[in-house]
Amino acid sequence: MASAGSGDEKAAAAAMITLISSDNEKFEVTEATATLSQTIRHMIEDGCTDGGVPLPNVTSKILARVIEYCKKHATAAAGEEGSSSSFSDAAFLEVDRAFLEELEEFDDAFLEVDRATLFDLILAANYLDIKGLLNLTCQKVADSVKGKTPEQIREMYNIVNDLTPEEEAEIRRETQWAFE
Amino acid sequence: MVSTDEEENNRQPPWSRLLPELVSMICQRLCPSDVPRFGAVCKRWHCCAYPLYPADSTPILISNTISDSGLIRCYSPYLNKMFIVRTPLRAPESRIFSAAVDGRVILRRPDKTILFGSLLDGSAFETTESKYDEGYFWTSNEDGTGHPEKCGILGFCPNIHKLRVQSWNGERWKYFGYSSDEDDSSSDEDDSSSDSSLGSNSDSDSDPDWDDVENSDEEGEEEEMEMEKGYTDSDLDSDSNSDSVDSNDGEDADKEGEEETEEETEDVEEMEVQEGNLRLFTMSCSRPVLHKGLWYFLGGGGSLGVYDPKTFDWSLLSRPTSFGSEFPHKNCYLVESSQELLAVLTGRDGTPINVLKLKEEEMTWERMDSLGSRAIFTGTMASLSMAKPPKAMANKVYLPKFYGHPQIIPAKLTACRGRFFFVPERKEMQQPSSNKPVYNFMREHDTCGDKEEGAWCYDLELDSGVDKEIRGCKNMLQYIWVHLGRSSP
Repeated sequence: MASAGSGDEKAAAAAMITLISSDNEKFEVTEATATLSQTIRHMIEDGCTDGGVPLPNVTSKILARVIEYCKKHATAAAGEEGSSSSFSDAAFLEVDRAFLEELEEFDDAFLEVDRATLFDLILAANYLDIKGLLNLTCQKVADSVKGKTPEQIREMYNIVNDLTPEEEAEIRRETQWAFE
Repeated sequence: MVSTDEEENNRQPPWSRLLPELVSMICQRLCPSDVPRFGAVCKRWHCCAYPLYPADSTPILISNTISDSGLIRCYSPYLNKMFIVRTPLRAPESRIFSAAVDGRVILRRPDKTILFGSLLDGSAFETTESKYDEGYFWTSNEDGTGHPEKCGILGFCPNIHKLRVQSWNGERWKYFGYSSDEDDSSSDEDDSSSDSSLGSNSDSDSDPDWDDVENSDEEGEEEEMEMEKGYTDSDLDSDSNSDSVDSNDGEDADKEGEEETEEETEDVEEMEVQEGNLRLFTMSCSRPVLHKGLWYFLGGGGSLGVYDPKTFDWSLLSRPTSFGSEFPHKNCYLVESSQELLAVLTGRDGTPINVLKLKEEEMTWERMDSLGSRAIFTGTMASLSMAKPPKAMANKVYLPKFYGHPQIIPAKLTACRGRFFFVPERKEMQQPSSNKPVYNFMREHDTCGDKEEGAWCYDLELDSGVDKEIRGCKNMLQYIWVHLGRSSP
């Protein structure tokens, strides 16, 4: 029973949601964290979260990472809201910037994963409909193929070239400028 | 062994079978220049790669106005496609006369200002008002840095006896009028709106030098305005106070009002290129060209005028006197190409075409048999030369004409790593499905090898006696050659 949410004592008072991974591991998280996922938000709205939310497409390993992401970003969002009332504009901007920087650092570190994990994160972000995470992970893939040739990309991502030589020649002819 | 192999396989997720919408999402985050290579990885990825076209591989014809809804037409002779580009830039009643680096175009506004506007983000910089309007040839002299304040703008009004110059140096307008004649020189006409009669409305100010009009004019010109005040970030409302946009372009007869992105290009009427007919030193319809530090003006018959921006000297050269009687022509265009001055002569319907080179030792025109690898884009106020165009375009002269019906593509202009692209606005491309191969789409519209379609061009390599069929061609009036992403001329 690894409970990723258990350390969050203060938030424990808030409504908690139980997420159940494909390998039947249970994760307890705050509603604020869980609702970064539009999929779960809709389930909560529909009142079908009693007894936990089964996520048959997400393994515990990946779910733990996803929750890590959601907690950070939910906290950041809450922090921003809280700060706006208690600081002057300038101070608020300062805090705001600090938050953003911290979040950026977190995201960078979060993406330091192997390609298999990245793949699973993309699928999970898509399935759970977590826009920020999906953006982040897709951008990571996009950045990784920057300036690479098709051959290099195939090697990186272990993709078999299923284009016929004719198709490939055609593609190259159409977009010759990009291969020069 | 088997088990380790399996483990290995298990660690390799099936990237090629990633959901198409996810592949598309990745693709949309690529710099456009990476998209074609991304699309050449495998079938699935290819289907998800969006089509895009380079906008800067050759000069393009750009409509010289931007419609009220921010649409501008760009015809690529290389791709034989017409892109209807949606731009955030708004410049009502303004005429594009040049393009600059960074996707900027340079326009004349009806209130006699010059606007540097970005087709990419709509940001704009506007000069203060210049004094004169009619009868001027406008050109830019950019240093390539893309800073509007560094970009020189020159308005020339040539005559036999004098040349009038309005010059924007980045801060203010300067006016220069010079005369080789006894008493005739000035630049300080009080009348700021009727300068088209040239030379006739001279006054007694005999200072032949640069005349910084600031303070010298009781009209309270705005030359002293701080440059910053000229910045208007897209707040470019037309004050519609003037319709005397210009009289000299020969391309400004009427305004285009295209709104519909899907509409055919039929409105490009089959009319003759309407220029010539200029009173000024029988100036050709070609605007001045900067060559080795001097501005050259081509007279209709082949004579040349030269303006030295350093000494402000304007003179008509005694030679060459004419192109020669063996080269009858209707129009002629001056273009600087690889440190050479070329004149392109076009006949009544475009043909015959002759390219003459100025032999600078003898100052005579000489017909060229070949341009080598070069291509020339001419037939509009501005002419451009490209030293190394795509191979198929080498040794050819392009006029603003095309055959058939080029594909019309609503598109956005985007820039990435210094290159410019047309990215089609295709709603269905945003939700690609795996069974809609893009390359079929592209193949369908492929017009290569089809003689009935494509940009009209004159091939110097072919026998010059071969008169390329020009009937049935559409003339692109109201367009001008620009090279996006590069300074011009």
